[in-house]
Amino acid sequence: MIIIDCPYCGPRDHAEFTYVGDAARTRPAEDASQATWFDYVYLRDNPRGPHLEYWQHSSGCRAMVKVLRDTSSHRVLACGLPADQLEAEQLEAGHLEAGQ
Amino acid sequence: MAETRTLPPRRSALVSALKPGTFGTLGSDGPGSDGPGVTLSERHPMSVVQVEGRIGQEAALGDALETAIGIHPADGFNRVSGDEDGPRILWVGPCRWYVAEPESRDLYGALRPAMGKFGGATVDLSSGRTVFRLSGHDARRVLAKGCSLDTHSSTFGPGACGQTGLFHVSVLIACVDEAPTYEIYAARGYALSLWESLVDASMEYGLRVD
Repeated sequence: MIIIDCPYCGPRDHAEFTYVGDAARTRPAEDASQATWFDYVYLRDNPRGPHLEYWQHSSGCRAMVKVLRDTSSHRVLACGLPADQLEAEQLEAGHLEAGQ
Repeated sequence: MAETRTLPPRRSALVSALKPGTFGTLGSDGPGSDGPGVTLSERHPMSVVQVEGRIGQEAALGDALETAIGIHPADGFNRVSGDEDGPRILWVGPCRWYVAEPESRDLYGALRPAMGKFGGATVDLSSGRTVFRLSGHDARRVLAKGCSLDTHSSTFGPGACGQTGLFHVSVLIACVDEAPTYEIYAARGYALSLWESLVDASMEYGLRVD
């Protein structure tokens, strides 16, 4: 059971949400190399631990929600709007790897 | 000027299923001993129009709604303003509301000119939504069987609304009064299925269909 805290509706069951995708990716520049674009469009890490994701509250207010979820425990660590900087965002597993 | 044509009166999606009467458990002990625990009916015909602006236009759009139909959206998210029998405004998303009332006029026509300047969408959903009215002291138990929304009176009292799945059907539920009474908006195509699920779920408490 995952409870996602929608910024508009409050805590709701994850059955109301649709998983949208990896929120740790940044869109490359228009003129970036084909390899960079290929990476952005197709390649995904499969981290164990905190992972930033987009979910849509599709059975609720339809808003997109940014969620930091631990992929090993399903614990939701933080939620916010896509433009928000989440408090625990630096825990994102991809960020940790990049810093190592 | 385009020719204006009117459609024939809308037909309820529940004509084949809605049979007024009293059903289910009405024994001497336990649930149903003090009359039907649940009353179920359809609110028909209803005018339902979705209005939407861009985020940031909430205040201006609210003022325009008040000018057009006399009531302002309630402050905050997942809230309802207005009376059950008059126009009501229900929050359904960021800068997005349903305006609903028992059908008496061209509600879409009344709203469209006022909403035009906001660049969002104004959509007449009247033919696309079926509105249920679920009431009685066991109404919350019926909802709890089919949805995960916390409908406790402390968080979901009169004036609250929320969208969720009810028996796997996407719905908008609004709490109308402390009976408690709930108004449930569902897509017309799922109305019959939802009606049957609600009836099944209500039988053990005693059900009156109006």
